Amino acid sequence: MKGIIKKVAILGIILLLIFTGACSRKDIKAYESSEVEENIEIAIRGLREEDEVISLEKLKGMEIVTKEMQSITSSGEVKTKKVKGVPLEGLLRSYETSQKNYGGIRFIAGDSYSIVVPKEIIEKREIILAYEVDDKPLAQKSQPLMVAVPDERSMYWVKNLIEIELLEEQQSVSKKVVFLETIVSSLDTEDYTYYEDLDKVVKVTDLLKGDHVESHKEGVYIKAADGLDKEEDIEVFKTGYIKITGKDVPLFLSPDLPKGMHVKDILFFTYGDNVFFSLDKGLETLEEKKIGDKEGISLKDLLKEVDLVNGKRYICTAEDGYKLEVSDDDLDKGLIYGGNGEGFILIFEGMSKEKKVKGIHSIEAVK
Amino acid sequence: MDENSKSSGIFQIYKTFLYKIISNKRVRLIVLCLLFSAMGMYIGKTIMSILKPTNLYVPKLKVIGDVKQVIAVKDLEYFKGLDKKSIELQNLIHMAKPFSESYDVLLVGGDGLFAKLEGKNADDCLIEFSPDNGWKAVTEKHPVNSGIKNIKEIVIVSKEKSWDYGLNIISPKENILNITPGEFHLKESTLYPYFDGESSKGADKRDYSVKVYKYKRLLPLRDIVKSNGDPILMMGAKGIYELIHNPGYLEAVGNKINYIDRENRRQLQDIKGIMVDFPPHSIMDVYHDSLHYIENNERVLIILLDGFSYRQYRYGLTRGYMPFLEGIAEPKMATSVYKPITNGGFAAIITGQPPRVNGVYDRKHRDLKTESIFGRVEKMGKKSVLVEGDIKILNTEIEPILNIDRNENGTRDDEIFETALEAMSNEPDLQLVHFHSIDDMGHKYGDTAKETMEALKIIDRYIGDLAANWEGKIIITSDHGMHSTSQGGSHGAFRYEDMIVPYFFLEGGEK
Repeated sequence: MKGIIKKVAILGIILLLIFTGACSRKDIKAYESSEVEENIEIAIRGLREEDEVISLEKLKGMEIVTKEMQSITSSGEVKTKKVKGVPLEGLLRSYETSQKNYGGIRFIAGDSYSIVVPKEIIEKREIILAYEVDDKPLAQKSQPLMVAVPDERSMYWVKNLIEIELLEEQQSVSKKVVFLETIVSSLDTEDYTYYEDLDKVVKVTDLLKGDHVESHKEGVYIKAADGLDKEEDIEVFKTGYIKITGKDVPLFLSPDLPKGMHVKDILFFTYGDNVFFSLDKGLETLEEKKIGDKEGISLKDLLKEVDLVNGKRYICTAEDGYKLEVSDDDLDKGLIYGGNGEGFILIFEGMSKEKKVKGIHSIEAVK
Repeated sequence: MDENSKSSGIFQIYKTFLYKIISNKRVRLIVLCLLFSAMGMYIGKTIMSILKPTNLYVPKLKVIGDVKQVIAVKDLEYFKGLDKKSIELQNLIHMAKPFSESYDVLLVGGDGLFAKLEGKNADDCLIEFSPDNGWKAVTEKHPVNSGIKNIKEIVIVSKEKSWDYGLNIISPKENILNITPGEFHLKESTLYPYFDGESSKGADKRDYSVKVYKYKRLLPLRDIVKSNGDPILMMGAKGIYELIHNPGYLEAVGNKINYIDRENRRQLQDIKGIMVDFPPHSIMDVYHDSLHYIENNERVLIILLDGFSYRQYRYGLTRGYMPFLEGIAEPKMATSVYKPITNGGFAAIITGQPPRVNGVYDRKHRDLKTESIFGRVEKMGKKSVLVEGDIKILNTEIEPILNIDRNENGTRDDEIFETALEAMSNEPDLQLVHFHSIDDMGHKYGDTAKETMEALKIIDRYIGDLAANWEGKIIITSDHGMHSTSQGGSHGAFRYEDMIVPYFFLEGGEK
């Protein structure tokens, strides 16, 4: 009799558990990851003709950042989250491109939800492909990655990310790098008292006007030789000067701006599609290259530094108007060096001496 | 057979039948199984009823505006166990902690209709919930128009003018205008459909896309700031420090005012102040100027006068409290950073970076996110020294020399002065001396009180002696200013008395 009671009790408990469980909510379930990270892949479209695929494992092997970011809910509420993941810019850098090169980026989730993050956002925000939020792994339904776009609506924070589509700019793109040392030699200079020294400056407005630079952009990106970079309001930038002689040059300054807004030893600044590059600082910063007895900087390294590597052809223009057109295959062979009184000179390995560009003024990428 | 014996016989048959069934093991097992199943279903159902959200839609009700804390009533949890689903308006407001005792209350309905009540008379008002009218105001003594239905926001609008909260617009010489988040709701503004983004989803081989907008009530900054086309300097909580050339819009969200740059999709949250005609100099210049000279192998002495405003300088100057400083070139006006408090100002001075960058924007912050002038100097292989009061203000690359009030004369500045003189004999490349008594007296008696000016007079003498003993450049400035209050003095608000400080530059070893 005791045995029967025991059996009945066990059976009863099992039934109790089954029914209790059956009536509970299905979504209250502990996360259990079964898939190996190696097998989880994120597709990247728009990089090349064929789609690229990267495994989650490889992605996590890249440089990881942890940042506090804020998202804005539809009611305007600001939520702060600590996200850990891979910066999108870092991922794209590994493919030798930048998020700033695209007209928009579409993030696509596993349930086919997608959103295009427009250019004005991708130009400003550091987007992170996060796999941890607030020190916890993403919930199963949000895995493998969540897009974190700081200071933007939560609708951009796409969960369960499986695909990234890079969208081309609508208009045809041509980008130009102009060399500061060459361009300032033709501009009017003014005296400027910099501490106890009297130095020469050129107006930023003259610099931009001189090369017919037009852009609807609100900001200018400045990078210094020591790696410091910042975004400055173009209207503020236009109120200033570029100091071209004496200490800390090229130096962006203005008597009307706090010194904290001045930028010393500028390597380059970008406004719209134009990059203004200091070859003097480039020679100090970039790796030295040698062709024959000439020592200088590699043209490819320079263009890579300013994100100008997507052209099919490049038009190199000298101060006197001479133009030389080269293909993207020639970039590896290019060298810029100081020409002892002739300004900076661009030569290409294997090309005849007649084709060297004396007093290099600019290089324009053509698609 | 009579009726009784007949029924007794039937009962006996049933009893025998039941006994046979119960005594059967299989039947007993089945019965028990059914019993346990019923229990399981009951427990499961109970769990479901607990987890299942109520079907009743309860719209969110917020208390916003000039309050220290935004209150949001999201559900009916508050009313659990109560007969009526209503709450006293005064209770709700009290929970949100209004900034001032005198205020108006705006009861704002979902359709935009709103009623304005005087806060002091709002004690007869109940906020009642019903499925038909949502949150509704029920008043006993007010006219019937106060019965706003479907209330979505209760906005507190302070009636006391104060420069201590909200957004202040100032120039280096005056406090021009204060706007509070509550007041914002009574100002003329533009309703603007702000494009948030476009998302899409594929289904049935078609793309379904949606564009999302959010209505924002925006106030053009040009309507309230007259900048004549010049840039304005904007600062905010969490260390915002921005130069704005093309002013955008303001938006009140909860108990904060945000800045919106529509074209550029830029939002700066919790703006505290805007300065027009701002001077080009900042206390952050100390870092850059010092570094410039130290890199040129010149020595730099920084004298930091805690809590010394440009206004105090002008006041003391005209009354002869600063014979030494009077004899040197007039100082420039320099801006401090928000919050104008000691650790925030000190961090900006020694890093050359605004609080958002150096990470010190509140009294609780002690660690720097960027390298300070001391770290830079140490990396150059040069010597630096920091002479402080009795506490370490920030964690920097070097340890400060601390000074206590050994002679118990009520100030540490005499000890700081002696230590500074002694430290000079080691000929450091950079020496920072931090005096505190102007700030101490300012807090106690007010920014231009006689006692504060007397402290300034003593400091002026110390500065003269230090300058005479220093070979190199000297920068004298302050971390923040000071303004008078009914209790003495204070600082920490975006007002010109707190934000504008003097910036002296002189050669050492000479007057």
